[in-house]
Amino acid sequence: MSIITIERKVLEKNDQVAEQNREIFRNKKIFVINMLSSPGSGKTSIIEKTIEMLTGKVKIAVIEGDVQTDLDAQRISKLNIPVIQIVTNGACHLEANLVRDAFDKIQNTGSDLLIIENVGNLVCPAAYDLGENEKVVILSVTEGDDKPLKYPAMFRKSDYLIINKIDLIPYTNCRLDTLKSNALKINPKLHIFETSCTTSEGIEEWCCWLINKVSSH
Amino acid sequence: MHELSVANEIINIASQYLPDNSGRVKIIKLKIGTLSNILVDSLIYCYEAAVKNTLLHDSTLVIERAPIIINCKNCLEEILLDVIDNVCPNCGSIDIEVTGGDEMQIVEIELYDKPEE
Repeated sequence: MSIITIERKVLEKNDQVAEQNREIFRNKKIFVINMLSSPGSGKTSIIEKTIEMLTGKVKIAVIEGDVQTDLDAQRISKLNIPVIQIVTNGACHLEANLVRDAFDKIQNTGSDLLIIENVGNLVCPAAYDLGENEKVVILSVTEGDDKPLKYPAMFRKSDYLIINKIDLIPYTNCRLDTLKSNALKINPKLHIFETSCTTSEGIEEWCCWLINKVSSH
Repeated sequence: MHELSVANEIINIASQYLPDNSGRVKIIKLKIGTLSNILVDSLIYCYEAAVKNTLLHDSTLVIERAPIIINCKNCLEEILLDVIDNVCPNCGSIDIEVTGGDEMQIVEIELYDKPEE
């Protein structure tokens, strides 16, 4: 009987490419965020609002990840921002090599901030490092205040949480204090933003944080 | 949900340990953490589908579940858990850090004794 002890991480290849991405981003002096959430939480709307507010202040590029269509890239390109759409054709998450290949096409746009919008999924993308500086998880109030407890990995691996659609709270049974305490139970270090892309509430605070991060990067 | 991607990575890595064309992998032993979001039954199902028509076609996965490990910042205990309740079971503090339980590791590979005739 021949047994070979190897002790290798199953996702080591992704982790290696993610580290290479991190090095590329560092050399390009670009700050990178990976936006994670379930479908329909408002990731693309937050990105649009962010672009509107930061135009002239920060040069932004966007990588969009979706299972099908380039609808999101079409929305972003209307704002005259370099954008690449990754269509995963069924895969439930982005992987580091997909981001590397996409970034290759926009690396010479002189951007200071790269926003990666991951595939809408509150489970799998948590396991895949893309080489980003920060993971930002988005949860909209219409999804319910119990979701951090039910899908903890994403909240544990992110340092930042955006609670979106806060203008809809009166029409839901979501309690903002319960949502926040549930999220902090999973990750006491979470920094929380509260936003609405309809009223623009909280977008300025989020953008101020981004500007600080980009300029101190 | 991404068990098929994980199964393919396991095949990629294990294939590197085939000694030569006649060597065959019998068992791939994995350690999968409770917090890894991997459904073991689904991983085995995906592996069996993905491994067909590869050199690993008659190999089997043996999966050991790795426990959740928390470090409590209050009572300074390191505790192993099967289920996490986000509080320290020792002192009740919520000031805990999860330090283990999301691993996905290939621990060892066992080869068949003799090449197939």
